[in-house]
Amino acid sequence: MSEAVAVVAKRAAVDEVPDYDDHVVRLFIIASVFWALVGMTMGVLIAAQMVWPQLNVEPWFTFGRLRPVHTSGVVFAFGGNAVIGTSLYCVQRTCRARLPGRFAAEFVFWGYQLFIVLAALGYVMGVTQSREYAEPEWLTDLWLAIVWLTYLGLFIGTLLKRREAHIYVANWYYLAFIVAVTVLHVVNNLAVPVAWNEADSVSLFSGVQDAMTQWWYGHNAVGFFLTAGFLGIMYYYLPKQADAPIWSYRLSIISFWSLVFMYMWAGPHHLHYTSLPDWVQTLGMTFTIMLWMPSWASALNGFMTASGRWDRLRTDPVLRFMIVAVVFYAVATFEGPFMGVRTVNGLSHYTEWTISHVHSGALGWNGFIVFGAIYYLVPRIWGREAMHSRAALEWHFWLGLTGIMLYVTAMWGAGVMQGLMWRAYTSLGFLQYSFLDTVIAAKPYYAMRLLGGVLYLAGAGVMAWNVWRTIQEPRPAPAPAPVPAE
Amino acid sequence: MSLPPDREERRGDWVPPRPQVAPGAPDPERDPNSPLRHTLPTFDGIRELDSSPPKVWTYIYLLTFFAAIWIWVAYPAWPWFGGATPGILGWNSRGDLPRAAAIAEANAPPVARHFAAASWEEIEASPELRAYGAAAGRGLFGENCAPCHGGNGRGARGFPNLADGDWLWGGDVEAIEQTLRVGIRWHSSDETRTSQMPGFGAQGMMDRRQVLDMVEWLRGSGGLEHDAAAAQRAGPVFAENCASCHGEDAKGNQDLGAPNLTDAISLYGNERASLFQTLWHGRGGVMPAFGGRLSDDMIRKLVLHVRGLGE
Amino acid sequence: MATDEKSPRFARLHGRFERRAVRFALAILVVLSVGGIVEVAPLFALENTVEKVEGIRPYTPLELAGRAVYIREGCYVCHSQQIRPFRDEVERYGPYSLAAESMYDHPFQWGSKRTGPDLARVGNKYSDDWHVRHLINPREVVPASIMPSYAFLATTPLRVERIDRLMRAHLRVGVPYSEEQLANARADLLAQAGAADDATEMLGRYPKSQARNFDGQPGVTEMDALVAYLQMLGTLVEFDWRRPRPDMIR
Repeated sequence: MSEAVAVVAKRAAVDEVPDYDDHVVRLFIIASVFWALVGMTMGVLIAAQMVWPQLNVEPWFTFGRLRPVHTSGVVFAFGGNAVIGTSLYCVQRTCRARLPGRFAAEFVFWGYQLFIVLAALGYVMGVTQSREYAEPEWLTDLWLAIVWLTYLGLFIGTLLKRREAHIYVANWYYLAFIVAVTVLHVVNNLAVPVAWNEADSVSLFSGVQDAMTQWWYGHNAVGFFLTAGFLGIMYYYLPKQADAPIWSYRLSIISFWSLVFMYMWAGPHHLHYTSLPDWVQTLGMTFTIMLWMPSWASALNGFMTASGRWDRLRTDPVLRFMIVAVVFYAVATFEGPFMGVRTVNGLSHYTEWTISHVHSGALGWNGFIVFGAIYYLVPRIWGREAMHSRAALEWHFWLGLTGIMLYVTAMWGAGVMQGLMWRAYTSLGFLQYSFLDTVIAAKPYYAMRLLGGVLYLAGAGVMAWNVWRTIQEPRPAPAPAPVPAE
Repeated sequence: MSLPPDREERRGDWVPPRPQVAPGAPDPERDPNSPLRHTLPTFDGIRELDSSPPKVWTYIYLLTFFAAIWIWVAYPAWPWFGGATPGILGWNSRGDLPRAAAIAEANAPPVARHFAAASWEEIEASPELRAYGAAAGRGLFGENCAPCHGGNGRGARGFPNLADGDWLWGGDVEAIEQTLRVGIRWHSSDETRTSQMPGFGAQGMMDRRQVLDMVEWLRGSGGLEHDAAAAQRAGPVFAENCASCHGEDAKGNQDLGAPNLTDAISLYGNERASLFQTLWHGRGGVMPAFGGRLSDDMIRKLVLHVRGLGE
Repeated sequence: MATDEKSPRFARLHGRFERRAVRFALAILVVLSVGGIVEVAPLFALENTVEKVEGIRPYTPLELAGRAVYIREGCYVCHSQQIRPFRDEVERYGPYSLAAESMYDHPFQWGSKRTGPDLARVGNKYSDDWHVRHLINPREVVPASIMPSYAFLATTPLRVERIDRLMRAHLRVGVPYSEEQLANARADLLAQAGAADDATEMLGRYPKSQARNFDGQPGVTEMDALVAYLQMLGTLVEFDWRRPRPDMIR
């Protein structure tokens, strides 16, 4: 036996690859693609309702009831399934350990789907707390808490089983996401049911304290669900796809602990100039400003990781999805601190500018990083060589990007216009516009936004088709085992 | 916290044996930024460098800290017993508003001050003040009145047209001002304009035949197609029941809010069914009182805007 | 990622958590808890968080039922209930909102978006008839409106029997309903909607409340309840924003 073979054998003993549990990852990815279509279709529908209010079908399909179906559908269903699925794939490999317990993983999957279905059916039937992004009622909330704690156990269990000395940076973010969401979900949903056999509840806090708690939750649903979880995706799937080393470990550390500490303070910037006391608003504003650089540190780490691979942007649409996602992350995390400044917020709050900001983050950053991860994962977890259609990847990318651009610019224009019209005084010193004037003025922008949403949804449809066809393809013949040279 | 690396390693959960590098194999990759460290750590094939952040990044990060500290010093910021640190600028959102309003008032054009101080006579005598008031009232009208009366003031069924020169409670400035201030049949205003068109049928003052005749009379009076014989029959009924409020000549009475019945303008429509409804059940449209909600100055601007709608 | 003696101090400190999963999770928990505790806890402890103003009372049973409809329909996604201390907002909507005015709101409904106008002081601004017609078909009265129609509210009878449970749940989270108010919940609800002979007692139990048949139709519908709620919004407190009392500055 030659020396080379001996080394290979030794390495194999150390690097032995466990039999990873990819079944549940496949389930989560399918669910994510499915809910992407549902959630984005809801978004397009409610965007259309703002153009043609006749599309509201009372009592079940009015804007007020469908809007939470859209937000929960894209954030918790599309995004949530993607983050959980990608985290379970990543944590196994970066720990070189299989998930502890097949049943727990399946329970998390089916339990999470049940949560989504219960929540969405509830909204349509009018069962809602009407607290933004925390609309599900108490029974659904309790169920989610059980599912989520199981997920926490599953994740930490895998970390404990790991055969690496250290925990990889992607897993820090996934861990922060799971821990933070547990805390936020439990505290913000403290409520007293109207009766044990009634779906409705009454929130434990009221008025100003309730507002603060809710936006502490609401902002950190962004901070930990849509940022930390998705940074976890970036930190694993971007270097994998780029085949490049993570650029800076120490930058990861600084930005990680800064985000974990500071995000929780930033909630009050959603309540500038309200009857929340000024001091809380100031604290929220300052931590929002201080979040700018830690956020950009993550973006920088992403960019620098891909630097030296820029030529691939032309040829590799998957990497392009990821890099453009990081661009949008950088843009949104600059715009966010800007809008968090009290005086700027005085203009932007209550307007479509907020909607523009959210969607540049959600469509650009969250959507695109997930699309990239899905395209990375699907061939691997189904054992195919590549995605079925490369052209479809390009179509998805350009449809999506065009959609985002239309959407974001339309809502930005509408928002700034609304903010300026509301406060406009004529030279004679009286209000120039009535509120209704601003509704009428926003209508063309609503139509443009609808078009952007349709394009983005079309892109997601192309992805669903491509994923479906990839799964349908026959499995390639296993590659012949490498024969050691004599 | 400077433990030697090997001791630190042992404090971990579990450390796998370091991969052995075969003699003659290429050197393991080294981190160009930390050349002293041994092999690049890898996770599932992802290697990890340890580059230093760019200086400009560090400086901007520090700058945001300084900015935050300045903001904490300048504005109300940290909770403290009995309140919060007030900030050296003395700013607060609610105290800022009266200041902003005072500045706006000080900077208002002279015509605004003239208007505020002027009596109705002076305003009526000055085209400039009239034009100013009417223009200033536009935004207020859109906010407070347009939901019922329409953006152009042309009204809707049950909400009077303000642009047709036909006034229920009077169309001079004092009358409009009074209507705006106290409302019509408004529950929470003591001085509100009150009158009641009775339900003549429902209250048994007319029988069904008489009400139907009266419908024809009304249509005839408004110059619409009608059954002349029926209208003829209704003449005495009108004199007995209606003339006290609407006048012998049926031209209405603005003191009572009784509409003129000789024009074709009907708040609830001229169709027979709705006229029948009016006579049988009575009507009593409601308008909120804006005194208290809006300042006297705002109400006078609205008055001028409303009066100008028909011009 | 291993650290060595050349690594920055914070990286070595971090290394102690990075290699212990449970310790790492606990460290995250501690670090992220700070912000919420510092910002939320004082709001309960500091006395000046909620202004001491006259006139705030818990919702009447009918208003509370109307508020439940408001919550159920998700009105907050398009309508705020929070007027900011800006010149244009006080001119457009009325004096800025006080914390006291939502102190019995479980949950708060301040909203974050104004696709439609702010509703914090919509009470007494329009007539009942307008509200009913506007809810049944917004475009009948405001042609340019993009609001959904809610005609079914006018034909859906209010579930009157539910009010006892709803009020008791509010009592449990701290809304000071008296025994008398709780005992008369259903009677007061009917009286306020004009479905009983006399509303005097009910009006005595809830100062500044209004009793009448809000939708003009026989029976108590969800429309009655919602309009009753809308007609009381922002009507309980009167203050002069030009001369804020010292306790309003905080």
